[in-house]
Amino acid sequence: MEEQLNVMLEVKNLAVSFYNKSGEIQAVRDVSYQLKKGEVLGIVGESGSGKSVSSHCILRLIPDNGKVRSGEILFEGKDILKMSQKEMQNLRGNRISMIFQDPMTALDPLFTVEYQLNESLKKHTGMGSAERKKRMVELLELVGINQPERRLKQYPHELSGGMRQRVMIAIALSCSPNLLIADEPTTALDVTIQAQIIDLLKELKEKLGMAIIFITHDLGVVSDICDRIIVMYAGKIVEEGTSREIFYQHRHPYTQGLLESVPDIGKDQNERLKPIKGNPPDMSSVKPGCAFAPRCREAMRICVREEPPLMELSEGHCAACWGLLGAVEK
Amino acid sequence: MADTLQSAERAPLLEVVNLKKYFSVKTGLIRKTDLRAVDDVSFSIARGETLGIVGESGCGKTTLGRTVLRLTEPTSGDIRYEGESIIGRDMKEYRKKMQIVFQDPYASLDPRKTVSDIIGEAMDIQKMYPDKAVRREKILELMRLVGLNAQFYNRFPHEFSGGQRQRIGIARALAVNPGFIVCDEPVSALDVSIQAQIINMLEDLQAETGITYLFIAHDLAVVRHISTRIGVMYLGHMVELTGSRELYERPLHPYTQMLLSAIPVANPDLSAAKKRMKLEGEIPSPLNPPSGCPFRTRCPRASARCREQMPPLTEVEAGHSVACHML
Repeated sequence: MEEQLNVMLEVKNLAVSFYNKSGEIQAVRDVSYQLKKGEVLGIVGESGSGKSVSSHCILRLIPDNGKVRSGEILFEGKDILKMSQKEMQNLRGNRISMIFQDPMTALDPLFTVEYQLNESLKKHTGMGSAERKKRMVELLELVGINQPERRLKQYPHELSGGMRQRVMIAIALSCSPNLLIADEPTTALDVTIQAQIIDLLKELKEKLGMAIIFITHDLGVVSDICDRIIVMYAGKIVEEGTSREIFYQHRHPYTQGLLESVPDIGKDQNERLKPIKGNPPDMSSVKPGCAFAPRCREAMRICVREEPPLMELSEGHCAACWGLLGAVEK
Repeated sequence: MADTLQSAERAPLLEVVNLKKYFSVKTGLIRKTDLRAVDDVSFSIARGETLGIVGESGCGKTTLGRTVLRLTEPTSGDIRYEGESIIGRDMKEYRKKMQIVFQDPYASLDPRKTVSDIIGEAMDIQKMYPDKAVRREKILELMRLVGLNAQFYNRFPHEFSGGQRQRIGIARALAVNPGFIVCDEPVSALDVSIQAQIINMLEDLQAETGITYLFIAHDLAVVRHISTRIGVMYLGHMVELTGSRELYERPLHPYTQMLLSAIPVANPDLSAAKKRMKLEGEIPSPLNPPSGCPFRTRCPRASARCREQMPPLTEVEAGHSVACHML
């Protein structure tokens, strides 16, 4: 019962498709997960795995040609997908906020940092202008920007990439959200700046106690910051578990392949990489069976006929693979 | 005898001497400032070796790769291929020997050309195979070599995924049988599961043909995996150059140490145990670089001397060169 009370976000059987001239592309197929208060959840997958689309749905930010075909997204018990525009606007940037991959395009080049920070404060808080100004300076200090008063007057093009991402984070945090969705927040940044931003997010999470959904393709990045990890492939969750379970006790062949295909920096170069053979599937024609089967080293006859369900291996650790059937029955 | 053989084998295929590439950038109405993209860089690459170049964006690594091939003209310095300077020479002859694989497999292939046109173009320019049947056979052979199905012969780039496009780009570079290829971030735009396929293929090609690579990337794990030696660049300068294992086990330059400690590891226990160096600041603007050592503004060990003088790249141990005053 207490467990239930702690759940802040619940995604249930979410399915999203995009439509174009040649037909339907099933981007997200039956995805369900829960997020507890203050938890950091990593969603890992390659391009086209549905990791971004499924998370953008939480703020109903999918393009016009996309459609949520079924499912519910419960935020504190209320279905986001059924909210009115007004309710949505109360949620966005206030209770739930988001930071994007590319800080260059996510900030408006025509407005100063102050204007863009002020926007959500003005909309969502009842603060007067002097109070807002104080809060803006505080926020920039919080995300580690020196000389905040000067920075407020600057335009995005005057800032470096790392600085822009810090401004984005300051905007996202301005109304003290309960949930922060970070969509590849460090992918466009250099490795030393990436490390700074991850440290900052970790620090902010401790300080502010917000939950974070961290979307990335980089397993190294999630290992550093996430409590739990979801691995997605072809629009589905293929494995879910704690960070340790995913890295040390992974059971899905895709998770294993993903971990094996990144070169280990601690190892000598003589060791050959083990890539996953083949290419990710074309989502416009979904075939029966497991989507990973054509690339899987351990594929069996049943894998191409029938889709494996997500099976629970231990509490909270699930994987969708027919090869685990024996392990589950025991 | 054994000695001379060894030294002949070790004779560098490519030598780069005091290479500079400055771009003139408008900084005012009339005023122009030099942007020193590559500033006094020297190195050599032995036959069959892979030299990796790492550094953050804006450090000049891509410009270095392009300047080595004279895709942009160097401001000064020398580039010698097989002992002969290529400066001032007609590059057509050298395009046959030195090739490049570009970073973006989407932008670097002409969308209106078929796979066979793309791979065959350089062959035609170099008039390598006047006989059509031979040419076709050669193109098919290259496609086989990089793992492209023969039935893709007349297909267009838009029909392929990123990984397959990069295979086309590699086949294109290989079409003229070059001895040297600049790989400019060849896997950065690809998904991780595909990256490993391409890296393995580049390694196989090297084992088969003895080709030499200059491998430019920002991903340190990938560079460590593929390179024999690695050079680290910062603001246009080469700050450390040594064997790939040596660099990771015993980095000497403070910037290299900082870079290595910033790499995220896909291993929660390790990353929890890993003590990260305090990472501060960002790369200064290359239009207004700091005086003396370019790294001094972020360096924990910087002293007065670093402000005044640019430390030269010095060999501190056999095969290990560092540009730092504090060693």
